[in-house]
Amino acid sequence: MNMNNIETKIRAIIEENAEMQKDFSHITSDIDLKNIGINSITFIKIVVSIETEFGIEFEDEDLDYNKFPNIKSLVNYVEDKTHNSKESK
Amino acid sequence: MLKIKLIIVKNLNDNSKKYCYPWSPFRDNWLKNKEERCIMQKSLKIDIYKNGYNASHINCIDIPIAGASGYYNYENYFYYCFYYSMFTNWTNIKNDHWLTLRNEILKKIGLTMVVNKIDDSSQLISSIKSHIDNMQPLILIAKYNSLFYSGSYLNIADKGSHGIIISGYDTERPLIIIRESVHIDNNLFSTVKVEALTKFQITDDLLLDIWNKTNISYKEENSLLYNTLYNIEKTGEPYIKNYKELVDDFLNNFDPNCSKLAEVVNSFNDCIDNMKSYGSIELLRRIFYGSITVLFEILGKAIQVEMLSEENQNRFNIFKDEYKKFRYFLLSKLHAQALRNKPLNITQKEGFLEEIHTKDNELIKLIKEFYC
Repeated sequence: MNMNNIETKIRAIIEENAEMQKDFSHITSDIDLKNIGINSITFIKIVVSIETEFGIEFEDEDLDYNKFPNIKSLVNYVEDKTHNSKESK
Repeated sequence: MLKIKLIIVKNLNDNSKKYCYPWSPFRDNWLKNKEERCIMQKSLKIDIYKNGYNASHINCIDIPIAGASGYYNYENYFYYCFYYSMFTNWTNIKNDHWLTLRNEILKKIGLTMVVNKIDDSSQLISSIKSHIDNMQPLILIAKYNSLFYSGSYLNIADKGSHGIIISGYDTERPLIIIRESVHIDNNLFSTVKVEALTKFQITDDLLLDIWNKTNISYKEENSLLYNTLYNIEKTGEPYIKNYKELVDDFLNNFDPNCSKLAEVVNSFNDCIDNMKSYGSIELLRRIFYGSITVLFEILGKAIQVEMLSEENQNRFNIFKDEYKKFRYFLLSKLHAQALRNKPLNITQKEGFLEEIHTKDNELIKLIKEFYC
């Protein structure tokens, strides 16, 4: 799966969970997630939705939204995870 | 714009105090009436607690109770918040009635919260005035959807409750003075810092609107809060009169074996579904993470961290960060496990319980070392 596809799916998940921001068309991938209403609780919801979508599991130490300030960081994480899991197969 | 400029010039030349501010031709009357205005209001002096806490630390019912207790002594607000944090994290007090815990805390500062049943809403305003005349602040626990200034006004889906301090009234006009602890948008509170205990006044009719709408809901819910107004009054001398006595009491009563967080971990596998909802996890985060911020802040104030050696200041701050970081992680992990529908295995559970116990013991050891 390429980065664009990952980003599209992650955007859709975030959009579903971001209560302050309804229009995502102008949201860039480096905007601070806190500024679009993602807090520590909605972040975990997003994480688990991402896990379900991509068949991965976040490491315990990565259940921290301070480590993922924006969409780009989530995309990179998922890309790494899916890439690594393919290589290990 | 031109007119305003001319007035300013005139005022400067006039050099008369009465025209200084506001620059208005109505200033004379404003000054004349200022004294009358003050007399017209009977208002209990409660600080705004700008350095206080918000709903990410302590819920929006206990912040107003803390604020109202602050009428009797400014520091009561902090003592109340400290005990609230302590008792919700470690306690054996049976929480059989929501007032039990609150009154246990208030007892420490020589106060009590008294129930007033008001079955006839026409008595509401006179009851409020009578308590204010007796110098007793009041707490009204309203429904969010009855608060005309809330985003949830008339939204029947929002069944949450919210505490308001009533601290005064106007003797001439039908106005009640209230103090708002936080504003009031659940989606915003975690990202927007709001001032504590903002003072404003509303008409008697608007207060009655809040009261009536609230009690329609409480009646349907068969709630203990139905037709109830609370006042906070003095019962005797406070047991806790300063921060030294507060820490002494903490050290004497802190029991890491009563950890409520350990109870949550222990019962997690039986409560997975409950942990999925936003409301439940928000509550857990507030109690086990947000209120810990309060605890450390007040302990830091009590042991005067800034007076410790640089090395000990660092030890305190590093321990505080590690303690909070662990709790933050644990709550995130529990939330994620709940959403994944995965119970904790025995190793995870025991690991968490041990860590909770260890950290709590380290906390008490550190405070003893710095304080005694």
